[in-house]
This record gives sequence, C-alpha cells and structure tokens, in this order.
Amino acid sequence: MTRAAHRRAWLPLACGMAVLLPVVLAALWPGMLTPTDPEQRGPAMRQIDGVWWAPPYPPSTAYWLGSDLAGRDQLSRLIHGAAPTLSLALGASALRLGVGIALGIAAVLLGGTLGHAIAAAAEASAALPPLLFAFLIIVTIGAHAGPPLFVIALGLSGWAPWTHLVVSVVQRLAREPYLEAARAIGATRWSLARHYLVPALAPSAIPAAAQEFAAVLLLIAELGFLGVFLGIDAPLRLSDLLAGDQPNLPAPEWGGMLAGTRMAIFRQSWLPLAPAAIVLWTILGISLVAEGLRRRLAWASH
Amino acid sequence: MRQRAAAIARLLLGGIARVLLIASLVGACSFLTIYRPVLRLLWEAFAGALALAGAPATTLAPVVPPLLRAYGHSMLVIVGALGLALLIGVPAGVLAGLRPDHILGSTIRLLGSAGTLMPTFILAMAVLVFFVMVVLPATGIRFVLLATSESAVDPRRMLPLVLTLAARPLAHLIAASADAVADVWHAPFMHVARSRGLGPAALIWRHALPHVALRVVAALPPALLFAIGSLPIVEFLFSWPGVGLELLRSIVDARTADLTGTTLVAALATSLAVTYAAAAGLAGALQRRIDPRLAAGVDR
Repeated sequence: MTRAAHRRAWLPLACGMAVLLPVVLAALWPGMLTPTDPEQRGPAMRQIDGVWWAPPYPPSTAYWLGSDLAGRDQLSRLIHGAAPTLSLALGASALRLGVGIALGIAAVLLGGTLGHAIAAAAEASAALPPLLFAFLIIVTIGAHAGPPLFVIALGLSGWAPWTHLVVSVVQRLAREPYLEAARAIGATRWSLARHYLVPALAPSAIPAAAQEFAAVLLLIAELGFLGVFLGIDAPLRLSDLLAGDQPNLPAPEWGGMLAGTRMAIFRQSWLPLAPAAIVLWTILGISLVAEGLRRRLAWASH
Repeated sequence: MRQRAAAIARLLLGGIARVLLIASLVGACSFLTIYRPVLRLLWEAFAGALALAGAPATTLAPVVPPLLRAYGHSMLVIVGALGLALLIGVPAGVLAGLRPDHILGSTIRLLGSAGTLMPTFILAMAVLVFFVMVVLPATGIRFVLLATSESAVDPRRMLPLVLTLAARPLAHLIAASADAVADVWHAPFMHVARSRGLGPAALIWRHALPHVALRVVAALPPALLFAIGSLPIVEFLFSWPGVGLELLRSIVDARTADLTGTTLVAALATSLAVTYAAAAGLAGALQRRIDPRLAAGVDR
C-alpha cells in the first residue's frame, strides 16, 4: 500500500478523535470546562440585549447556549451530562456486544435445533425497533429503577447483528483449510478461538462496536425526546410531551434535556438544538473513528 | 503419590464447588421468592399468557379496529417513503457507482453517508420547522398538524412524514446500488461485453441493472427496518395516528390497563414484526426469481 493510502487510513481516525476530544474531556473532567454550576438557577428576570427575559434565557454572553426553564446554564448542563450519558451508552453497547457474541458462539457450538432457535430469536429481536423495545421495558417497570434498567433495556435489543456476524465469520472460517490443519495437529477450541476466530472477527467487530456505541447514544437521545430519561421523577404522560411541556429535570443528562422540547423548537429553539447538536457531534466523531478503524485494520491486514 | 494427592484435591474442590452451586441456587431462589417475588411474577406472566390464549374472541375484538386503523395510516407513509427512496436512491446510486471519482458521484455518496448518520429526530425537527415556517406561509397549506387530534388524517399531511421516513432508506439504497454497480462494472464478463462492441447504455441496461436489481431487492428489508425504526419518533413529532404513536400511547396506558390494553400493545408490536418478516420473505422469493442460481442453491 502506498503512503497516500496509509494517510487515507489515518485521516478519518485523526479527525474523529479530534471531534471527540472535547466530549471526552467533558466526560472526564467536567469541572475543568464548566463556566458555571449546572444546578445554579438564574434570576427571575434578566436583561439581555436591552430586553427583559424570564427563563429560559436565550443564548447570550452570560449563557452561551441559553438556559433551561429553571434558568440553569445549558452549556454547563451539557458538559456535566456527558459522563452519565456516555457511561449509559457504554454499558448498554457492552451488553449488546456480550449478548450478541455469546449467542453467536452458542449457536455455532450447539448447532442443530438450539442453533436454529438462537437464529430465530435473533430474527425476531431484529424485527422490533430497539426504541420501542427500550420504551416498553423502561415505561412498564418504571424509569425510577435507574441506570441498570436503562442498560438492560437498551442492551437487550440490537444484539442480533452481532450474533449474525459471529455465525457468518465462524462459518467462513470453518471452510478454511488452515483451520482443518490446526484441528488435525490437535489445537483445542480455546486455541482455535484465540488464534483464528478473534483475529478474523476483529476487523469487522471493532468498527461495528464503535457504530453500536453511536446507535445506543442516538437511542438514549430519542428516548429522552419521548420523555424517558435517567432520573425521571414523575409518571410519563405522552399528552404532556405532545403539548410541549418540559418536565422537571433533576440531573443533567443529554436525553433528558431533549424531553418535552417538541414545541419549544418554535419558541425557544436553543432548548432542543443544544442537546441535539452535541448528540450529532458525538455521533459524527464516533462514525469517523469507526471508519478510520475500519480503514486502519484493512490497511494492516494487507 | 503426587498424582493421588492431586486426584484427592480435585475431588475435594469439585465437591466444594457442587455444594456451593446448590447452596447459591437454593439461597437465590428463596431470596427471590420472598424478598423480590420474581418467581411469582414469572408465574403470573405465564398464567396471563394462558388467559390470553384462552380468551374468547369477543374480548379481543375491541383491539382490531384501532389496530387496523393505525396500521393503515402507518403503511401509507411507509410505502410512500420506500417508494420515494427507490425512485431517487437507485438512479442516484447507479450514477455514483458509475462515476466514483467524479464530483457528482462523491457528492451522492457523501449525502448517502450523511443520511445514514443523521438522527431521525433531528431530521424530523428540521422538516417540521421547514414546513411550518416556510411552506405554510408560502402556500397556506397546513402540511403539519402540531396538536393531537383524532381527525388528523389528511393525505396532505403525509408529505413531511414521507420525506423524513425516506431519508435513511434512501441512504441505504444509494449505498447498495452504488456498491452493486462498482462491483459489476469491472467484472470479467463486462470486459467481454465491451470487447464485443457493446456501448455504455447497453452495458448498463443489459448487464449492470440485473445485478443492481438483485442488490436493491436484498436491501429492501433493511430499508424497511430503517423506516419502521424511525416510525415512533416521526409519528410522535408529526402527531400522525399510526402504529408508532399508538404503540407509545398504549405502552404508557398499559401500566394501568386491562387485558384489552395489553393485547393492543402486543398486537401493534406484532404487526410491525409481521410486516418486516413478510417483506423479508417476499424479498427472498423475488431474489430467487431474479437470479435462478439462488433458487438452485448454487454458490455465486
């Protein structure tokens, strides 16, 4: 491969990391970047550009991304919301990967009826949108159950592609003569998995894992837009959200900041735009990293 | 001697592990039965399923009209979105595949990637704002109904929903058809066809398009899944009374609902799954029809 191809392989990865850097910094050291306390409420009235405003305040020098209904700084809340949101996305995507890969390996090892049953379960799981599945689980049990429930609800959907990936890679590997040779000289299953399955799976699995993280993050934002978010303290009423009431947000979290902003887009556009923009920015960064990893691994395999 | 000691140690460890396993199983079951009645809840779920299976048809009858109504509304916009995606996505993808290094081809590819990346709720909000702030003052036509209403179904209101729902299937179909053309364009049989004097139009029409058709048919079920996945959020945002919005409402209501309410949730969710499964089956049959090698089980 040429030098240009090498550069092409690194470019998206470098761009993606640059895009993600402020998000990662916000998640790790929010205090370092925050202009004000995310829970600090502003005054009842504030003069901005010669006009008196009641909360939510529009973007200004005092509030770069505006404030929420309680007069709290949106930028500070976005920065402090990075850690809980990204941790939730990380936990749920790890669960998806774990479930999908474990079931894929089980389908291959068990084969027969059980293998077919796992494949059928994967098909059925893929047919129901993850958003509806997560909404059903969280609303039925109650969002007050906290992060573990969110991780389970988001992680138990969307695992089917991983099962398919593992099954297809193993089926492809099984036809390779070198695997037959390895078996003939007495390689154990563990050794086969370590030396052949993992290296064969990695080039497609690593970028896909990054995409999975982005997909879960998007799901968290969509659930928040529908009024389901971490720290929700009242029973969900869709009629309230359709009418455009933003619920009381106890803790900063990106999904929660989108709740009840359906109608606010016309009156206080900064309320949905700021969290939507940070979600889009993060997804863009993760997608660039995924594409960079894909190219880098393809380059390395040549 | 050492072997014997090792065998005894293995035996002991095995015994301890077995005792620990039994103890933890019994302990966990007792704990879950008394402190958190998981087993009772499981039994209630099983008994509920039995009751549902044995319920007379009259109990389930109230579910049918809202299900059919919502399903019809959703299918209108989904079919419209997939039709639009096919109409634009396939020619655009073919163009991008034929001219991969041209600015037009690169732009189409880039737009395709952006469409796949774009979160539905952000796109839907942009479409909502565009129709309310730009289209309404210019035309005087209310394409978007912001308030929820039972009399909300109006064919004109399909337009913003169709546009929003078409975005991700469109991106997927662009990628599928561009990849198909790029793969087939430099295949050996295309070189043979060129050497026999076939022009570009004949090459595309006779040789490239059958391959593109096969890939597009294979890409239709995932494209449908993209549209179904976006359905709840789009219907919520545009107050469209389809399966997505009805499901969200029914799930929220089902916390306090009876058998009928719960059945409605199950029926609405099943209708989406059945639609996808039927589409996947149809696409498979169509693929076998287009390519007889698939029907014969020949490895291509």
